[in-house]
Amino acid sequence: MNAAALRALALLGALLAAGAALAAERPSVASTNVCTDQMVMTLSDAAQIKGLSPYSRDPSQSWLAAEAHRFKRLSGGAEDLMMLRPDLVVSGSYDKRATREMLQQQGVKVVTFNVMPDSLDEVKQQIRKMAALLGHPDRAELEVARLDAAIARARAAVAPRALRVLPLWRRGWVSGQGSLISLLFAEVGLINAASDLGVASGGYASLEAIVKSKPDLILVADGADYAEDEGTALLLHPALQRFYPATKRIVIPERLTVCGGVMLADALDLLVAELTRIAR
Amino acid sequence: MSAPFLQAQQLAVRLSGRAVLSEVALALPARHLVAMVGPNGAGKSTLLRALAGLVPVQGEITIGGERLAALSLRERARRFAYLPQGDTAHWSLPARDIVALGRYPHGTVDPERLTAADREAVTQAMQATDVTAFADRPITELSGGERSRVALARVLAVQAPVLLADEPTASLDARHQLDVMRYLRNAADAGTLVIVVTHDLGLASRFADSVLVLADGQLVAQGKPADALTDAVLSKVFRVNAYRAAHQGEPVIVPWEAA
Amino acid sequence: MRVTTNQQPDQPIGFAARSRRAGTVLAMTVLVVLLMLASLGVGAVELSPLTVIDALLGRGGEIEQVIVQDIRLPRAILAVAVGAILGLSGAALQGLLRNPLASPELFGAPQAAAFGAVLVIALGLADVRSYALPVAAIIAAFISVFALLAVAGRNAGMLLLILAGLAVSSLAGAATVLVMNLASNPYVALEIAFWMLGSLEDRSFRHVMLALPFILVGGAMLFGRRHAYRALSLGEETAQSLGIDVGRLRLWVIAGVALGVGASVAVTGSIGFIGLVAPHLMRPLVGQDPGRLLLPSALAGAGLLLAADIAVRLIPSTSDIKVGVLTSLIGVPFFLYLIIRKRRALSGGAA
Repeated sequence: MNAAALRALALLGALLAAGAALAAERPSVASTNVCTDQMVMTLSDAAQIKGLSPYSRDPSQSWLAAEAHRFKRLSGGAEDLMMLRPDLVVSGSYDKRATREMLQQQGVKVVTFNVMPDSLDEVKQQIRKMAALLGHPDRAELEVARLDAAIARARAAVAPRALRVLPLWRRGWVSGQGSLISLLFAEVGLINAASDLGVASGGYASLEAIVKSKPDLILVADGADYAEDEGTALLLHPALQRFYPATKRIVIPERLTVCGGVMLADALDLLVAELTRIAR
Repeated sequence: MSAPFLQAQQLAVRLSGRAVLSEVALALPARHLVAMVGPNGAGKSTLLRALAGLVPVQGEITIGGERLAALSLRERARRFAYLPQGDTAHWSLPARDIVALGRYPHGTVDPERLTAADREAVTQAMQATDVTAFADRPITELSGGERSRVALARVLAVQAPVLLADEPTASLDARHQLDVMRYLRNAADAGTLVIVVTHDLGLASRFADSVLVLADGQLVAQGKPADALTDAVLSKVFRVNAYRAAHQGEPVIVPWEAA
Repeated sequence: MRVTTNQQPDQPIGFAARSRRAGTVLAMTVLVVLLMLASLGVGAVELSPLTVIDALLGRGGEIEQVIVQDIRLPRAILAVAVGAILGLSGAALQGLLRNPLASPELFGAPQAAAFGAVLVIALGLADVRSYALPVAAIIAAFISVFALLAVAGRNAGMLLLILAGLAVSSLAGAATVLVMNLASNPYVALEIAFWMLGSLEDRSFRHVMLALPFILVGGAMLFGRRHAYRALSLGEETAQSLGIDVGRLRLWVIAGVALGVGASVAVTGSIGFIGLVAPHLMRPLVGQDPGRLLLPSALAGAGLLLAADIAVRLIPSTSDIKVGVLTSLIGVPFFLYLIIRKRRALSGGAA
């Protein structure tokens, strides 16, 4: 953990102590999306959290999976939410519409967040929006400052030559323009190679086409030589291994890149670190 | 009778808990045609299948002095040629290939790779049953009578010392019935012990050297046809009275009326 | 005695049938080789036949070599091996049971094998490229076919076998879905759903090495007893009387089918109906003798799967078509056609 984060934590602790008296007036909250889970955990008091989404404890997708164990895990349906009666339900724009509508009919306040933001500025906006809802507007500035610091570090590390990097997920899914990954790439001066494959915002690419277009590097979520299913086995295909051994693979865990949130700061720092490793 | 070739003592078969055969004792010589008769359910087919090694059996069977239980499946297959009841040819093979399957127990598993001995056995068997003319035709294209002759040729090709045939004349026309019995008779005359199950008392008495009468899983009479198929046996076992005569030196027995 | 013969004096018996069979096998082999070359020539990246041949021989650009040698070649080899073992299994089962509707997929063997493999994947027990996968699939396939034949009993008619097979596949399918639900990895359900459809896409030589040894052993087991299937055409009792241990033969064939089908399913998912169709395509050409149908059926199976796998790459589509979907689209109507032809036997309930 770096110094900035330590300072932020210290400040957070002070604020928590000061705000304890106000806590009773702040709304209780439940989250139905793994991305809003992360924001809720960073921005609210523990006492406010009534429940988190089913995937909140999944370490592959949830940045704060370890912390999520302290809170109740929701079923994903409307029933337990109604029983918990939180003041506020936060959800993702792609979550089950029927569940949201049912909750709204029951008079529960539901606020939807765009979990696929179009820019880092939108990410910051969402952090502020969430913090305001939770009654902790001051905390948003801390997180935004953290993100800004990481962005500044990334910009300082921009390489002289723009590398073409292909963000490649299971089954050969490629993240294209407008994805969070592309936003991060832009900050460190990388070019998303998806467009070379004719992939616009996202889509599947064949192994042959990837090998043929030959990006400089690939970005994967997992660096281990272990295929838990055929989807990940594709990323370990000998044809890919031949051109992209570990020294040509940027490894950034999915939990840092699936959501627009403060974990993007970690993602950027890791991206810079990986590029440094690969440059050696 | 000369010295017995096939012997059985205290033979018993239980199928799904029920005693199908019990206390059967046999002593049959080579070069002999034996007809096995009895009402439905008497255990004729079971006895035949027991000898062929197709059902688990208690008691002791010896063939040519060797204990059957000590023989391997293939050794047994070389000693007993078995013709099951009914017509089973599931795929359309050429008749010749079916006859050549009779050489399987001798290690010739491929009908297209016959040894000289195999070829001779197959040719002889086909000539003996008069099937050479349609040897290359698929079995499914043959008439019922032709198919039964091919089936018989297949068991003859085994050249086993014992030939077991389960109702080989069933569902055949009169001429084919006589043909089949004649082929079996010839095989017996050539040295084989032929045991044939039949419901036709007329054919049994006309062609067999001796007759075994089974009832309720037990051997109730045996001997020359006229000695085994007495009026008493016919009325008690078959519940019929028969017309008796003799023709060309062979006994004629025709079931005539219910006893 | 009438002795007529339509043979030339210098020709051995059965010469015509034998040369016809040899011709069919030769033609099928040529076809499989051509399809294999075609399979190497088809893909997302367009390569000229000359480039493909160069790449295959280790000449030309590195990218082309990798595409042909590491991406397309293992796929083509798997298509041949899996197609062949499916065709062979179908022919062997049809021979064993004397039943033209017998085939691994109608007996639920691939479905059961899929369950075995899915269990390993869903529980995260092993890398999907480890031997745990084929071994689990083989065991599950063996149990399913064994159970099926035990339930249906000896001399079971077509109807009984098909009904029992339906029950086995339904059970295996339901168990598979249940395992998917219990999986820890959230992507597992999706991954498995795709994988169950059957595909040869992007398989590598690691997959080939995973399946091929089992397929070869299973194939050798099935092919080795080819003459016994011929004897079985006279019925189980007659075969037994000819010195064949029918009970042991059954176990042997079940084991052979389980090895081949289990290993195939473990790397390609379930690819249906090759085993049913291949022997039927070959019978008009080489005759019905179940002992002589095995090699042609294996070749036909290889050809069918190669052709289907080429077709899925040629049919224009937004996402890739699964080869198992295509074989079922062809196979199921064929199965219905067979049922129409065998309708009388089926409705009578007789074999």
